[in-house]
Amino acid sequence: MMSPLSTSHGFWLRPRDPLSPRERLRQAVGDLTRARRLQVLVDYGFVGLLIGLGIAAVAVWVARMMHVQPWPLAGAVVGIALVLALAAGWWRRPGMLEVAISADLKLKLKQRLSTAWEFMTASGDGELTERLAVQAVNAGLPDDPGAVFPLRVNRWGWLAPLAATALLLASVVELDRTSVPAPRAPDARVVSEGERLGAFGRAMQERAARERLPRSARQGGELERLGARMESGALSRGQALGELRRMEVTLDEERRQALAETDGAGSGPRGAGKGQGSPAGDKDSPYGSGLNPEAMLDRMNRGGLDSADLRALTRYQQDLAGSGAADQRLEKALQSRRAEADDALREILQNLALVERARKEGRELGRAREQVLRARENLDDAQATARGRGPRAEIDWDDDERYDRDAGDPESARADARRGDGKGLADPRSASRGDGRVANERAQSPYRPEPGPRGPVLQPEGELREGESHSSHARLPARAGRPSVESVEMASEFAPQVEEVLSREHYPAHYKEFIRRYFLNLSRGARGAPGEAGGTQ
Amino acid sequence: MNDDTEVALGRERLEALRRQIERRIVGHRDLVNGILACLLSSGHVLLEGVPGLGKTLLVKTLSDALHLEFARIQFTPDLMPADIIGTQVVMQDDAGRRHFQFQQGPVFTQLLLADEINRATPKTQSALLEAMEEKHVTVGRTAHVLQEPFMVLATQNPIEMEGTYPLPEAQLDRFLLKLNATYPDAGELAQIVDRTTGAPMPAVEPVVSAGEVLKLRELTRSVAVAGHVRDYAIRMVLATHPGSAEATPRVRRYVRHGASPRGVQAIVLVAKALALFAGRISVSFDDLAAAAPPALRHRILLNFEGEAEGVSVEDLIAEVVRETPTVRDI
Repeated sequence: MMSPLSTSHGFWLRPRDPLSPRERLRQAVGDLTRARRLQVLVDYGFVGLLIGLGIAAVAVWVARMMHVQPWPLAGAVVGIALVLALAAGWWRRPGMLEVAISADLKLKLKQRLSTAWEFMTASGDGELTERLAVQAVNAGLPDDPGAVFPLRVNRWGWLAPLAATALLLASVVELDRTSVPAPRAPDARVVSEGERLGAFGRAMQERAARERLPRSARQGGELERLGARMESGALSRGQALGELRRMEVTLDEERRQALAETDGAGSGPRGAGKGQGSPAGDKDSPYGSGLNPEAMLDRMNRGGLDSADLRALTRYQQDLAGSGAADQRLEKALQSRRAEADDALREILQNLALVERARKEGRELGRAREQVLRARENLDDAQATARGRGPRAEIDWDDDERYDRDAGDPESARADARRGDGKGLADPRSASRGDGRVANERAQSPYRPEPGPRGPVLQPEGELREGESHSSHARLPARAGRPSVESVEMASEFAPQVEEVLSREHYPAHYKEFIRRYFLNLSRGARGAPGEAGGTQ
Repeated sequence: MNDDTEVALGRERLEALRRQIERRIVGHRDLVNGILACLLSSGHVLLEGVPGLGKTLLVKTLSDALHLEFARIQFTPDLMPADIIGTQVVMQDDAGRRHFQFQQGPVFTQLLLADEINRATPKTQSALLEAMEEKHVTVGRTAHVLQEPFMVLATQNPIEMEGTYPLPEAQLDRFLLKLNATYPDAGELAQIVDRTTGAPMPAVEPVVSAGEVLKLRELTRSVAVAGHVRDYAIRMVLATHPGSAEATPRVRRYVRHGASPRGVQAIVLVAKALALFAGRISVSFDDLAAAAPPALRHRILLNFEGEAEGVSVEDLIAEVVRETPTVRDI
């Protein structure tokens, strides 16, 4: 007699299969459950992948803006999301009855499988259970449970490439160029400043080429390119200010590095090794008239120093001795030179030439920085304006400029050197001769010194707040035939506050201007009401 | 004989019965299925349809195909309860003594056709209540048990409502199914014409005995219903309750009373019969969905808004069947 099972076509139902209908049913539901759980895990995995890639894209974007290494972060985010999703998939794995119900629906078995499984697990042995098991087995289950619950790419999986693309874009797109600039009219002041900076950059490059100053040549090129961008109208005022700030920092750094190269160079005027130089090889040389280390070294390499060179060196050595900074090595070298042994002198001249080159670099870079700062001021940069009028504006080129200023007055320079301080000028920046317009602007400053018994005196005044006034005095050095520069200690005193207020709070642009003008008016008020001068409050 | 063979034999008997019915009845396959499901489910059927659709002929044909006693009552407004269940009459024996003796009414049969049941008064209609539910009739202090199987097939006309007495909800609930007789299509009409205007109607042979009907009923009750399948029927019935969370928005708006527990019983019993028709010993979601409309349509009461807007109970049930999820949380 043929068994009812012999008519089935499933692999559970082979005629020679020794398993009973219940065992076959148990095996079938077990296989289906494994396939379904694997499918659920894969589905959750795709969800986790999609979420992980999405979060990773955002994380990479943020990390790049914060200058954090993005790829480890992205990998960690994707990994964590995947693990969490798989854990959730395992947590919500379907039970065997649920799988049987799903299989019934998929295979259109009219709930034969799930009913048999439910009765088998609930009531165990029984005639009805046996009949139901036979009925379920006869229904014709598929050979491959994976065909019922195949591993598939679900809709989340299809979206994963989009998230991956977003991640890729987030990692390669240049952040500075992500925002499409809105069409706007070029800022006339930016264009004007760009034109000026470009011209200065070109001139700086020419000077650097002539003087063989690589740093200055490079920075001159940068300055010219920045000027060209500003001039083309490609940069808004805010972008231009940002670029100028970066340029200023770069110039500072370059200048610092150039001057640091002179460390260890033994001979030279006091302070030369710290990079406080002045134009060399010309009449402004701090070594005295006619002392040009590079030219001397060149002549020494070609044949020998002439008597004028030796005299200049001797005078320089005497100057150092007279200023209390005698250079024993130079003195011995000069004596040896007379004995026709010039190796030591050659080394000294090489050191002097090195220091001289660094000073030239420093000077050029300082000029460039002055131009950048000037551009920032002209573009209404609150920080530049406040700093330009504050004590920090002097930075560290006062000695350099003092040398410039004293170049035409060696006596004065020597006197300053003897005093050993750099306080000859209250605002050395104003003495810069790098840009005549700066000096002209300063000459038009409202803070004009009043004549005093021991020289011109500046008496700025201002009103701190309602009912309070402030005034201060600054004595200016009076030097005939030289630009007289005012000291604006009033503004200097308020500069940090202005800077702090403007940086701490967000003000509209016209309010910033208003705030700056307010403090400017404080000082103007002081000049306009001299009768109240002479004290505080 | 194993169980599967028993199911197969049961199907064979039912097919034979169906074939006999189809010798006279053209079309009405759903109607025949419903009546047979009701027969196997130990329930009663309310047939509704306009005159001339063959309702009465169908019931008579069924009685001819079954070895069952058949009685017909034509309900009229002057019909009295005693005309249905019987009455005590004075009898005189050979000794000349007189005594009351219960004279059984037409309800004492196995297949009762209550034709145009809504034409009788409620008092008369309610005379059937005890017989339908309890399967016995109480006269005086004596309860008279009806024969098994007992099945009432009532018909009513949805038009010509003047002078009729719509069945009260309590009595409607006693009917397991309410089946609607529909118009035949062109092909069926052609067959009807051919069969009824030519040679005499073919004779119908009785093919199923009362004992076999009782066995089929037992077999029907043995059909398995899994818990998750049964829950689907419960959710469907709950969805007809306007205050239930399962109710659809239209049910909440237009329904006054949903189906009673008899509704879910009817669905499951009829679904079991339908499963047996299909040769299965377990009920499927499809069986429940097929059983729901005839089992629920007379158990849902529309509210005033629903009546005023002409909302169809059939549409509401179709919506409930469509929107009730078969499986939850999977």
